[in-house]
Amino acid sequence: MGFPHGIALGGNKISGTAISGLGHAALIGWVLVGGMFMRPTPSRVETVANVALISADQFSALQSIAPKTVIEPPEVQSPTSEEAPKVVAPADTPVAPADRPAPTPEPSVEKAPEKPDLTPPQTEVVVQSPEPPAPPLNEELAVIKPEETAPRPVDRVAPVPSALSVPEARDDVVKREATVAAPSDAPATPIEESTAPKAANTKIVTEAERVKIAPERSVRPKSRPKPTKVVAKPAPKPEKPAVDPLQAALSEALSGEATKAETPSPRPSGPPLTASDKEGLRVAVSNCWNVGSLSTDAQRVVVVIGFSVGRDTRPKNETIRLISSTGGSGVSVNQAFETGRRAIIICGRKGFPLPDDKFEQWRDIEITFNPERMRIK
Amino acid sequence: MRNLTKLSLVALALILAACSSSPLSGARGGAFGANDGSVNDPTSVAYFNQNIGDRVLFEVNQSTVNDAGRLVLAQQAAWLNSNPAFTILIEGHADEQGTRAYNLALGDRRATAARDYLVSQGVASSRLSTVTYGKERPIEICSQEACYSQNRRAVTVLTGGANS
Amino acid sequence: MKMRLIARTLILALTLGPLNLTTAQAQTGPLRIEVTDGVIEPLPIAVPTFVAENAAAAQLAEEISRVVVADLVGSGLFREIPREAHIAKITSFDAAVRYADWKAINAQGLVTGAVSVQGKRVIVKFRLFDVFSDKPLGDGLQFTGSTDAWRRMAHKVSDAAYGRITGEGPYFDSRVVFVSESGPKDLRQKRLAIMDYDGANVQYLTDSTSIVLGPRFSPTGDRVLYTSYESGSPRIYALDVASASRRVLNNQAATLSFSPRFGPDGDAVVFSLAKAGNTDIYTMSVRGGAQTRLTSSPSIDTDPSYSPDGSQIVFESDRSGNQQIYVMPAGGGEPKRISFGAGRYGTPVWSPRGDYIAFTKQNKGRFHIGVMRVDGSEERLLTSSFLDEGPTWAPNGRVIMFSRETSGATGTSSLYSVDLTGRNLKRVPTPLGASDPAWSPLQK
Repeated sequence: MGFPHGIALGGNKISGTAISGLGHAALIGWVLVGGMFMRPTPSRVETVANVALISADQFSALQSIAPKTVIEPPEVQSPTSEEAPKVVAPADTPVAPADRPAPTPEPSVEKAPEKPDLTPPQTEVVVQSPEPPAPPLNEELAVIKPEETAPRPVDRVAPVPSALSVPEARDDVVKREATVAAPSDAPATPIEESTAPKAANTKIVTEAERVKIAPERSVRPKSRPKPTKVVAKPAPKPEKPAVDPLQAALSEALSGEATKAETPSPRPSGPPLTASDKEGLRVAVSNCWNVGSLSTDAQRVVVVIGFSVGRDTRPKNETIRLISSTGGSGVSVNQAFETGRRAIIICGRKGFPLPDDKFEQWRDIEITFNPERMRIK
Repeated sequence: MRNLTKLSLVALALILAACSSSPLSGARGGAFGANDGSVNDPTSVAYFNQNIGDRVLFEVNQSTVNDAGRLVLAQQAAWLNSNPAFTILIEGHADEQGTRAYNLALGDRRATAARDYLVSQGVASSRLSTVTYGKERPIEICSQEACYSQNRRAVTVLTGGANS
Repeated sequence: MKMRLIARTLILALTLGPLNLTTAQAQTGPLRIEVTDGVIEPLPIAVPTFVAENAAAAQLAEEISRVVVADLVGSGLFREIPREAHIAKITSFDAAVRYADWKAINAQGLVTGAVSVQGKRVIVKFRLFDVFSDKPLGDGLQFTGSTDAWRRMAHKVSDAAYGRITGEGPYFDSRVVFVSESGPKDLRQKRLAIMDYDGANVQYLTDSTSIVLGPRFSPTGDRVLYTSYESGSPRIYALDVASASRRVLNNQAATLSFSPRFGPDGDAVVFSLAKAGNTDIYTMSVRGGAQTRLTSSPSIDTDPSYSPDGSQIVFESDRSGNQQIYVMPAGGGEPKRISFGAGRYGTPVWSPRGDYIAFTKQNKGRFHIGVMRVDGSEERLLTSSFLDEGPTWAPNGRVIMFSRETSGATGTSSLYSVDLTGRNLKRVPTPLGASDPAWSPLQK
């Protein structure tokens, strides 16, 4: 392949070498990266034909026109009449603790309850209503709240009316709950905890913590694009040329804190990032993006996370922030955000594979984490 | 005189034998064959099970009685009509190649299909009841078609009568 | 001026290097990439032995921590950093946590706890830490209860940790009612049993003199509906779990009843009634009384299950020629078929979150447990074997338990559980064979 005469573009000539190189790089890139997408698809079950959902209104409409079903004549005995004698006496009916030694064919139950469960299932487990996970940058001290009964309406719908129900057991339960309601011997004052470092300390610990923690799995990207080096070689210093006052001002503004704002005008900061550069970053982050513990709700949430990167290609962890999300509720969104954030931090510990001379182009990064393909494996 | 006594004794025996073979005591046997309830006794359950056949088989997921089944049921009906002392419970069964509740319903269909056929052959419906065991009581457990086919059955179980 | 700038940029881009893959514009704005592939790995978590705050608590402290670990690891979403690898030791519940020590062993989560025992009362405290972010994850909690209920308290700790880290609803403090089986396939002995979801604390609710099938919990977990042959033919019964007392619900002559389930109000019972060889779906009150017929077709209609809001019933019917899944209003009405794949569909069960219906599917000689959306879309099979059937949902709508029977004369039935994603398929230990599990709601 070759275009020995090159082609003209806007009055300038692109050499045949450039086009040839373009084609080769595309091929290399595809070889390196395309395999990622050749994932064996799970055997698909036939998808269902369109089934229209009927709205509640339509259901009611259906109900009203449907022939009312005939109520059977009351042949069924009222349960209290004959059934009490029919139900076997407690001697035969194994009330749980007595049962264990009786049936000889069965071997003794493995790990039989060491103490017979004499208390009805509603034991006194006093529970503080659980808190949602704390938002990421909110420092909280762990507090042991005083004992409280969570006010749970006990559902006593339709108690079994037969003569063999055991009202004593129920009264017993009610009594227990009543005693628990009174604040008991547990410490009533919140326990101040000095374990959590203050916000400032946390920051320092996190950033100062350059401990070479060997990850249990390699966080090296699966494929490291080689051409990055090649690109960097022949480039003259990208920052210098073509600077006019407007450009300089923009560069100044942008080289400060990480900003969310898009910059409208282009920054001539080295050769543009190649697709393989981006791929290297993507692979690096993917390796640490662990969706295994996401709730099924969070597995449907797409988040866009922005952050800044230092000159050393390490992410500035304190700049990691949620830019936008789609789907899910507050808790799920937070989960999805945390999972993406962990990926950035963990795989960024040793820096990302980003070309040094294109710093201006990757100093601010936005990553969209879309778990759709990971949902079903 | 001795001849007369003998003759009287024989006549008495015959009369007694005849008296004892009333329609309501079919198990005692009739004028032919044994009357001891064994398989040689044509009025016994053993005879019914072995010579008439107490079961019909079904195709997978089917509850319609096939031709072979109809033959057996017709013979059952004839026998039952001649031996009216028995009450009949028809058990319906299914093989294990299905979910539990559905197999209960399928067993019930099979038992009912056999029952309906017996009724159509003149057996009084008041003598008949049905039950399903779904896949809970297989008789062959090798988990292959040779065994499955034996489990897809309606079994006619007799109760009552003098020898049972 | 702008044009010259752009032109110059273009020239610059074009002349720089031969491998110029992007188009001629330079990048605008931050670098944007999309990550769609990741890894699925259990989250590493450390659960040092809970501190025994008095001598009497030593054994319970150890046992409770073990149950917490077993719950979290058993869910498939966590991996334990073993005690031997811990650098820091938790000797006092209130001492400061040295995050660096836990990071050094790659823990991302940390559960600390303390237990004290006074006579028959035990107090369990715990805290949860996001090691990765150097901070606690929510408030600590404290549970008090009888020492008999120590396992329940351990499950409550795991539920809190699991819920906070994964965002998923809890499910560890729950029970399962099932049929305990023994004996050969052609003479199975069956009896009702109940146990903690993890297999502990097995108790028997009936003896094995009659076949029992398909127990299901009431919405509050205090009663069980099931089918029994104790009258000589299958009939539905209601049983009170605490006392194990029971009574029959349907006593009509010349009928059979089976496959009962409670409605979310704890009073309605939906079930199958077979009469004259035809099986249809009926409802009645658990207190007894008249029955209302919901389907009237010559087909077999069975395995009904209410939606969590009680407005609809999903069931199985062979009216189309073979078993398929249908949804109809809870008061009866035209059923709508929702299963359309190859094979036969049965035992549909509505998820407690209302979003999925689990089912058993038979196709080409194999059985599968699967899920689909309530409109029938997104059908997914989670298991495949000689005979899987009868799924039941955990209270959080994420885990499914079912029966698996092996083939042949020596085949036996066991309980298995699997995650909604299809992962973490594993056996639930029972003392003997087991089938027909039903998961209770979360205990209070």
